[in-house]
Parts: sequence; C-alpha cells; structure tokens
Amino acid sequence: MTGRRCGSAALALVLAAFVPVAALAAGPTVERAWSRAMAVPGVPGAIFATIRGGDTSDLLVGVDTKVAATATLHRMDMDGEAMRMRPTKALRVPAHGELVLDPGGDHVMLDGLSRPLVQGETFPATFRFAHGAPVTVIVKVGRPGADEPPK
Amino acid sequence: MAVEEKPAEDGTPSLLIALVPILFSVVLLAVTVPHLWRASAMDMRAPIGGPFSLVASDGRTVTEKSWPGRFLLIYFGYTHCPAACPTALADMQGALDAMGRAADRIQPVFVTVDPARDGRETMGRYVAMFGPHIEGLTGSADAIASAERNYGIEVRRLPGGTGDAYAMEHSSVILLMRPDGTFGGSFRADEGSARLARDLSAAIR
Repeated sequence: MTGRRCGSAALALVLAAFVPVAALAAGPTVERAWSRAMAVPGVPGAIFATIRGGDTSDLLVGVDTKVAATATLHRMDMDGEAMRMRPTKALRVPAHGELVLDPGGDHVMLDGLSRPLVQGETFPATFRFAHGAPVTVIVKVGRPGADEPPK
Repeated sequence: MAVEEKPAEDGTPSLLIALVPILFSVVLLAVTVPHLWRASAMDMRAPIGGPFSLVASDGRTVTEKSWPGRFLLIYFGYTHCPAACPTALADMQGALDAMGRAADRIQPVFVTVDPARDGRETMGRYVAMFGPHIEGLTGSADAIASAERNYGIEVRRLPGGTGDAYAMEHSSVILLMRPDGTFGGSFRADEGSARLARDLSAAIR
C-alpha cells in the first residue's frame, strides 16, 4: 500500500518534471541577455544574448522592450576591416544549436531609449520567434562598451 | 568512317590537354593581378596621417599638433554605432588603464564619421562614459572628410533608414601616430584590451 502510493507519487513527480521540460524543449530559449550602459540622449543601445535552438530550426523575428521606442534586429558582417551592419527581419536559430547576439556580431539595436541604461540595472525584454513561444527574460546592464555580460 | 572518326576523338582531349596550361595561367592571372594592383595601389597611396583640424567637446579647436610629445591613438566611428565603436573605445580605455604610467605618453582620440548627428556635446557625453581621457572630436563635414582621407578611413552611409535613423559603414581600426606625426601602426578593434595593451606597449617602446 505504502509502496504503491510511493510508486504513484514518484510517477507523478516524474511526469510533473517531464512535462515542463518537454514544453521548453519545443522552442528556443534565451540565456545571458545583457546590454551596455548608455547615458547619451538620442544614442541607441543594444541587447545581446545567447538563444538556444529547440527541436526544430526557428527564426528570431523581433524583440519587445519598454526601454526603447523600437528594437531592430541587426545582422553584422565584416568585410576586411569594414563592418557591415544592416537591419534584418529575422535571424536564424538552428535546431539544438545557438544564435549568439554579441557586440562583434548580430544584435538587437534599441533606438529611442525611454531612459538611460545604467550599469547594474536590469530591464525585461521579450524575444519573439516565428514558431516557438515568446520568451521574456531579464536583461542585465553592464559597463559601457563591455565585451561580455555582467557577472 | 570509323577510322576517320578515331583521330578526331583523340584530337579533342589532346586539344583540351594543350589548353590546360593556358587556362591555368588565365586563372592564375585573374587571381594574382588584382593582388598586384592592390599592392601597388597601397604603395602609391599617401602614408597614413597628416593634418586635421577638428573641434573637441569643450569647443576648442584641435589639430594633430595639439598634444606635443605624445602618441595619438585614433579611432574613427560614431555614437549611433551599436556594437563595434563601444567595444573599440572600451578596449582603448582598458588598454591604457592596464599600461600604467606608460599610458601617459598616449592620447586616445575618438573622431566621428557622422558629424551630422555627433555634435560636440553628444561626443563629450559619449566618450565620458568610457573614461576620463578619451577626447571626442567632431567638425564640419569637410573637416571630417579630410581627416578620413588622410587616415585611410573609408566611410559610407548605408542606404535605408529614415531621417535620423541610419547606419554608417566604416573602417574599424585603431591607429597609432608617433609624436613626430608619422604612422606608428594599426591595431584590430575587436581583440580585447589585454591584447591591445600588449601590442601598444611594444609599439611605443
């Protein structure tokens, strides 16, 4: 009796643990979302993050955040010493791979900041995908020109 | 008939074989000529450096002679640049911080390639985010274009973007000028402050 109850409780636990994992695994997830301090009026900021692909390939199609009037996906290409940065409608998130948004590459540009981004602060942002569910994360603000996310 | 055809069939491959060296040299030429042309164009191009007359954040006019006895560490970029320019400026400041007293011999300078949006107040607030030492320089469109030419910086405003929202494409390279005004070397702007500090220390020795 006790054994059976334990068994079914264990089964329920296993199921409970499994269901959210299965739900997460379906779509992309977002990690290490960060930004850099920006205190100059009229000058844009940026969001960087690591987006892990789900079971199928997906597209990052946009980011929503209240700290900026517009958030635009940018693709960065280097041509020798010249950087080529251009707005893009979507960035590919490979299945079980990752899309890295960082200062040397693709990123989200924040135009029309509604307030200065202060080092040490955080703000929420929602990443939207073509197929997967939107993911809201907390973006940490690092020092100006930081190369990597704040600790 | 069959006898006549045979030499013809044999002839085609041998003609191709004979053509191979010719085709190969054409390919080689196509590969090497642009390089040769580029190399000669580089050699013929004026050396990096020369006069500039720009405006500092506090309104004073500065030229390449405004910091006598010091090296100039110059980066061209713009404040609306979301990624590469902040990285370069943070690395410049980080490298100078890491170099200790040796850094006193170097004046870091950020020159805008986007004078339409980067007035001196914007430049001043922008460079101040990175540290107390970087001078932010702007100027008239002509003065900026002349500085870009002298320092070998290629700039293009990218099509698209409306009104005040547009992007610039520009050479992203950190340049070192010696106190005598000669070119002291160039450094990549994306390799981190530790690497830059090491390379800079060697270059000013």
